[in-house]
Amino acid sequence: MGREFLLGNEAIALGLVEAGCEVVTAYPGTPSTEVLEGLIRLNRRDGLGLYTEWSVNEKVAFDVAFAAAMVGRRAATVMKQVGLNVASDSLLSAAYTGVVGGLVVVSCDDPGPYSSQTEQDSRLFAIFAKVPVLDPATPREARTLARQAVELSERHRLPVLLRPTIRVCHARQAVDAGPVEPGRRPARFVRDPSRWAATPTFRLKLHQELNDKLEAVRREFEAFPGNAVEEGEGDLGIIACGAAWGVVTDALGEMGAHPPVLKLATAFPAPLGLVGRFLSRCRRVLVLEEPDAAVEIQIPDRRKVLGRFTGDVPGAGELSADLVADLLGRHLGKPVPAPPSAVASANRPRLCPGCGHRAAFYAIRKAFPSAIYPSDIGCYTLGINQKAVDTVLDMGASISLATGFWHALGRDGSPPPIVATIGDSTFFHSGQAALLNAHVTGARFILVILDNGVVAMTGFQPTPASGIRGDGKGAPVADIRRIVEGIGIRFVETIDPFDVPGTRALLKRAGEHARAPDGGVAVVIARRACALQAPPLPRIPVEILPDLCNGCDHCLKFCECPGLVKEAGTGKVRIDHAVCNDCGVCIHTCPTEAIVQAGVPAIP
Amino acid sequence: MKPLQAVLCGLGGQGIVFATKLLAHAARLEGAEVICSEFKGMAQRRASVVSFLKIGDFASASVRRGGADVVICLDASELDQALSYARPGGVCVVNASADDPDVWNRSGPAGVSIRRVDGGTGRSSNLFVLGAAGLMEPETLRRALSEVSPSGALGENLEAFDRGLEAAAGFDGRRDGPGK
Repeated sequence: MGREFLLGNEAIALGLVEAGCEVVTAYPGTPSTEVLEGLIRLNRRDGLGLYTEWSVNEKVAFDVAFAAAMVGRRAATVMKQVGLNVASDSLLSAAYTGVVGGLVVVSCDDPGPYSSQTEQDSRLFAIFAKVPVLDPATPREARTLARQAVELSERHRLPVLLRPTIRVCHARQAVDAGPVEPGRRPARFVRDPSRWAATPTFRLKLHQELNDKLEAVRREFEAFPGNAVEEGEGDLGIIACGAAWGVVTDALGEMGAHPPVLKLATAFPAPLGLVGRFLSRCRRVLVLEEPDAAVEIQIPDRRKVLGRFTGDVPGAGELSADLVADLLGRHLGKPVPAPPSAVASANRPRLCPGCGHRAAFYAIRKAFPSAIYPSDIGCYTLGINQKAVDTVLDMGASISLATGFWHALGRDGSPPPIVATIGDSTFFHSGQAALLNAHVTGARFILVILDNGVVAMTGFQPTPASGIRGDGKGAPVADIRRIVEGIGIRFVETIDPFDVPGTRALLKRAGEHARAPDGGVAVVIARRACALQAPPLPRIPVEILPDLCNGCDHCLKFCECPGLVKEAGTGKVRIDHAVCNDCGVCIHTCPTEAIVQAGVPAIP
Repeated sequence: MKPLQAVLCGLGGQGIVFATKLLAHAARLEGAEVICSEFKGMAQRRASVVSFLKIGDFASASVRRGGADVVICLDASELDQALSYARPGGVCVVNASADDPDVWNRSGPAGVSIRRVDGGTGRSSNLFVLGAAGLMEPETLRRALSEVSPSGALGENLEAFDRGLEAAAGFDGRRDGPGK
């Protein structure tokens, strides 16, 4: 047994494997992605023979893992917090049916948010779904709670949520670890339709069973090892949940303060006996948890409680070390000096030099400058920098919003052109259903599927078109073009977006199909490999002719490549060759043709 | 090793994750407890990245503004961000091109000293800056590098690190971390 320096997510993977999970599914999403990646590495390293799957979306991921739990195998499914929304239909039903083998749902929250559409709290979701939830404070604790979650789930026969936040998922800490023994348990489907196929009458009985299970879990949580009172002095007590406990502990250490602290790892059902006894010995209690008031809301008598409901803790944003130090300082009567203000960086995220999406967005803006541009979630969201992204709601919404814009705006006459963009992975995830709906309701718009062959933003996981399974084995492939044709779309064409003039012309034809009396949705598949996986070929080094550059900034605004740099003195643009990826796309973006292929004599 | 709170700032893609891992590994080789952060995703597409590294008996990786003993700034455009984390008496080491007059003439918040180095913009410029930062024994860092560096880049990384060490000798020859 040695010590390994593990990411919180890797520690969770270790805990799941140690607990004997044999089936683990996931959909990539920051900050959850490294759980399955870590598990795949462990699987390979120790020859465990586990089944691991990058599922098409989180609902499917949940269902596949749940089926394993139904037949008695321990299982887990992993997603980011908004992915839990996608899986929620299944989770809520599964809470009623219960499980046979332990089932853990790992849902990773993102207070901040750093990389998400919401700062929702998966612990509040657990209260709604009526499943227990554990909340680790550190990577080390995440490993322990992952294992305990599986055991808890099997002991009480219901799914259990594990809810790490990004500061646990993406922190590294030394963890005692060694080779893992594979888990192998007998598995069998036992027919029980009053449970697995329960109709409403049976659902009432299952609901009563669920309530009893939760009560049994609550009693267990009253003596859970991860919940602990740290003795201290003074009138003010602190209830610190999950990662907030770590920040509180360090802040109190720096301040030299020692109030009593109740550390809580079991967010729901909260151990109200333990909490109540802690409250009774304090005059006031400050509850620190994030991103929302999941424990605070369960406290029946909150007259002594300071938290989000009293406005003492902000209603949005991360519980940063600054904020916690300030809150503790003020409430403990040891105010800390005001920290330097937060700095808003001028550096926004941008598409990489050589990205095919950049070329596609440029062509879209040129072909349809006054269109509405519904878009979606992925690296290509950064097309917003090229003014070619108007909406980002959630996965798959680009297509359903395009449909809604068509029908809503079409009531007054002809709507403006609508050019929706979606990535290949997002299309598989939830674009398919939306496209089917668009087709059968007669909507008219252009859909550009930006196909770089991989789930890029999250770190290059395979897609259904990749032909590789999550466990590295070969797999049959799905083909986007055939799916689109199968839905009934009659205009589907594929093009390399680096051919900017060709893409513009194709988009125009697509627009004609969308407008024609006998037309319909027009799909353009813009296919070009991710630049980080495969640098652009052929290499087209470029240069800018200073005499032709008039400083109009068109390339900076609409091509928007990090390789294009404005010179402070002259106002002209030059190429930063340290950054340029030689894709040649910018050649097509200069109104005065000042950007040319390097080393090719200009045509007089 | 005595307790240390460090912050690394820069842009996604500049090797901050690697630099943080390297420092963490080196500290662990010296027997220290370490907890650090490692952010991924949207920020990695050239946006601002702030990474935390705490050496000692800490329960969380988070560092408060005005709380860092050392801040390492790999991109001069993030210097304001970097300086906001330094504590009075702390040090900020920033990679800035010698022709960037703004950075070379900037003064930091009261009590924070700024060390400017020109490590260039190449792939191993982050190693140059780490060499110049003087956070721990060079031999430990070299050993850590040989254990975590991608094999193809090890030679280049070690060379950049040694050049950074030489550049640091020009400050005040100190190798024992930030001033008081």
